[in-house]
Amino acid sequence: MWMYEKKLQYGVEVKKNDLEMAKYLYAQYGGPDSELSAGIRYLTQRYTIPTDEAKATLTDIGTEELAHWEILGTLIYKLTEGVPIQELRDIGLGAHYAQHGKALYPHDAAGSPWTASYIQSHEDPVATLHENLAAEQKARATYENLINLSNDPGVIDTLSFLREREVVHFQRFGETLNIVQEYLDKQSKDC
Amino acid sequence: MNRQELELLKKIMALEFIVLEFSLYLNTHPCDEDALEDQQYYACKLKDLKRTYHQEYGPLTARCCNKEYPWYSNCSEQQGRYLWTYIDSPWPWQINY
Repeated sequence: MWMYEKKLQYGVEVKKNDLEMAKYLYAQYGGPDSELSAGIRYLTQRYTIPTDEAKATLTDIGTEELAHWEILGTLIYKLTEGVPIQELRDIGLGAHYAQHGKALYPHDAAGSPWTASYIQSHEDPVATLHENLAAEQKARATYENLINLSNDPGVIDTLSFLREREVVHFQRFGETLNIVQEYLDKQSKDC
Repeated sequence: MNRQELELLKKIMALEFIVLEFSLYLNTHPCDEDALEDQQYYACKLKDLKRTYHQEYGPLTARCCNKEYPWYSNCSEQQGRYLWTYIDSPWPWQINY
């Protein structure tokens, strides 16, 4: 089960509204390498993965990704809070407003809706863990691009935290791959 | 949310992160005694701070237990002060950190 606590994993403080940045941040809210993709990916893969270490890693990193998704939602919410509709239109968020008003929606920076085809879940644990290692690197690279696009110290601070988490997750998935590999080698020797 | 409450909340957020970081490490290093000791130290500190927060400012979750109940005697649905204080505090996206 999951339990909700009324707090963010990491604080979000923005200087002022920045619609353009909010639009770009949708990359990590509902894009291919978004926090949503990461959470759904890991939490779906965990059922059949061998070893307790791997099950724990997928469960806990998957859960952390949902907390990151909430941070992204908070960033977008704060960057768009109270802005006039005309400004949304000027910045290219008119289509979003037409369909959702000012509510958030899981789509990417260009407006394409989130889809499960962004992720893979495979019984083969080596294939699965390599998918995850790649996903963490792609997310890290996306955060670096987003940091380059921002000039708000608060936004950059939060994005830097999220970028670092991708690096740590990559490390943990690498260790998990070694553990699973050893397990598979032992299995094949026993046969 | 006043300054003191925010400071305590930030401490809880920081401790929660420390505990998570140790836990993720322990998932792939389950026999590391030093890491487990640190994880436990911070997990207990976190539990204490959450209890303090709950007693002073209300619950962070919908399943907190507090025998000193109720925190408010002047419940008013019009003014947004409830006996059920879980919904009384700001949501994470409404807080100025």
